Amino acid sequence: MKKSIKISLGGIAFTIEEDAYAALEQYVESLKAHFGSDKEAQEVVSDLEERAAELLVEMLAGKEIVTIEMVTEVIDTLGRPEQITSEDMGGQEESSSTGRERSTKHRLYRDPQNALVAGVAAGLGAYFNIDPLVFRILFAVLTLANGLGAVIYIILWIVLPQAETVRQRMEMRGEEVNLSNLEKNVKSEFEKVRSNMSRNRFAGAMERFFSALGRVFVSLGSVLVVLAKVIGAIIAVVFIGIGLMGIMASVLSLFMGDIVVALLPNHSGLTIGQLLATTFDIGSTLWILIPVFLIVLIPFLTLIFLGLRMVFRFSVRGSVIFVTAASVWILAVLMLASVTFLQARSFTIRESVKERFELSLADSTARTLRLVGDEDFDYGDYNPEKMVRIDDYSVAYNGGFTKIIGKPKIFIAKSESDRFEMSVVKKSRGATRQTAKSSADAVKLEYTLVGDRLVLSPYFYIPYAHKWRVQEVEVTIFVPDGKAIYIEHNLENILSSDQEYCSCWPDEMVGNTWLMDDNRLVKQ
Amino acid sequence: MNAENAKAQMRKGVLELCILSILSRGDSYTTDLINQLKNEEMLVVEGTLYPLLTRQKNAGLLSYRWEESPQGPPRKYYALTPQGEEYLKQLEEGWDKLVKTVNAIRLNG
Repeated sequence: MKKSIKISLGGIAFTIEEDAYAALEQYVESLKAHFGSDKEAQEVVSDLEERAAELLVEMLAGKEIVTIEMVTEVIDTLGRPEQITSEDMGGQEESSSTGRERSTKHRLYRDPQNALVAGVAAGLGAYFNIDPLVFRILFAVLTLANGLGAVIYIILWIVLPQAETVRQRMEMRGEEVNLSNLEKNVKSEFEKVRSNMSRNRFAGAMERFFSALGRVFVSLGSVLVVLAKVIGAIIAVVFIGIGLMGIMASVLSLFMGDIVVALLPNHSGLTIGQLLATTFDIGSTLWILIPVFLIVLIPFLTLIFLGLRMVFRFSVRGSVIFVTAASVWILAVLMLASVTFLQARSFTIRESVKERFELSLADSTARTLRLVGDEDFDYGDYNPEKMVRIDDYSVAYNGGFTKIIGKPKIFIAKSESDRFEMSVVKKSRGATRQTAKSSADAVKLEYTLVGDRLVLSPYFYIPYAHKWRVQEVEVTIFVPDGKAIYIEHNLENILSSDQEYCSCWPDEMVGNTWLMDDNRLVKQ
Repeated sequence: MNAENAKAQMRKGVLELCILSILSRGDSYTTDLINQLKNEEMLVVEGTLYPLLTRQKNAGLLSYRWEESPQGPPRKYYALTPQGEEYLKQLEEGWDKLVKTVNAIRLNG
């Protein structure tokens, strides 16, 4: 028992066995491939089809079904394309003495078989033997960037011819066009064409049944299909575009960020990793960078995957990929959360270290203490020009070590004794009392007392071995009743604006002498 | 070298002349043409004829019309145009001359 198919050939209906049909169809395709697609060629092929039909009618001679033997005989009678060529005199290409046709032309075409929109990218891909996706993305990115992509695309759409025949398709790919190659290509495209043809036949049957109404619906349907395809393609391209740009942006900001930072003027040479290391305890900052990277990246990758799936309609087990992506993402979130949580613990306890001492002026009878900011803050080998400023803190960097620099706060208060006194309160956070305390203790603030001048460093710093734990330093100068303090201009920045003994702003306080009169500071 | 090949080349050269000659005796449809040419062994595969006919038609040497057939779909009948007759005359002259020359060379040599 054999399966048979109903076909129409040269205007005559035949019942044909499946293998016979395949052979006949391949033959017709090879003829089409051979003669090309212009009007003359179409006429020749349809003449040949009619003759084939006539021959089959003769052979059937009352029998019902066309067999493979009959088809083979028809093909032998009509001749295969290469036989026709060797017998045919007039064709220009065929006039070479070998009787074989050759063409090493390599031409740019639009490729309608792999087209997404008009086949421009597919054609470029075939021409350069590159995945057309590359060109699609290029067009998409250029379109999103400045619209240029769409313009180029439309120009190419208009300019480039469509590769329709097998010969043109081979020229597009730069394959040598000779008969054996043609044959090979026809065979490889046979399956594709076959499915197309059977669809066409179905459409034909529909038309017969539903007549004009059916035709309207079919064309309406195909318009809708094309429309849906175009919209789908646009969405897919947008997905891929956003995904790729997101990945590029995150790669740039996370791993290339340092390089970008390095291009900025006044750049300190500090890397993002080193910056994180000023605060985070864990040995490698990759524990933070990797989860952040994954959290940002996975949604973009998912978008790209969705876009690609819409473009290529491949049926990868999407659910497996989605589940994997989702679990990696959740894992990354958990990892970042736990790193952050563990780190947050080292900010829970606040401790302070306090020292208070007498300022013994050279002349103990001197009435005024002069408070001066140190103009020559010792940055060591750190370059003060190249510091990263974050809020009230700066991160100085000297190529290997980082040093966090902060601003102390100065208060003026009343001394209980008749001597000038000074207190330094260093505060810090930590996971335990002990760590908070030692972290506070490590903070350095420099000052010197020369004669009646107290020279105060305008910055405190946290040595390299210590992490940032919101360290703060409060300096209080205690002025005895009846004595005065002169505050120099260069302290305006670090003078607290919340003074207990004077309701005045730092800019008023500097450059003046203030007398402690009872419980108030009075300007002199 | 292959004798069959050379013969095929010769046939190629005169096939056009043969088609026009047959049609000069009266309009005929493609299958008739094929049968005559095949009987005279001018044609190895039928497919060769079709591109040639289409080319001659497009060159204005032939015209065709559709005619109902007693059974099956309508048939294409080819006819010689005045231009085709002129062309045929030239080919015939060329052929006669060629035969004369070839024979002269073959027999006198």
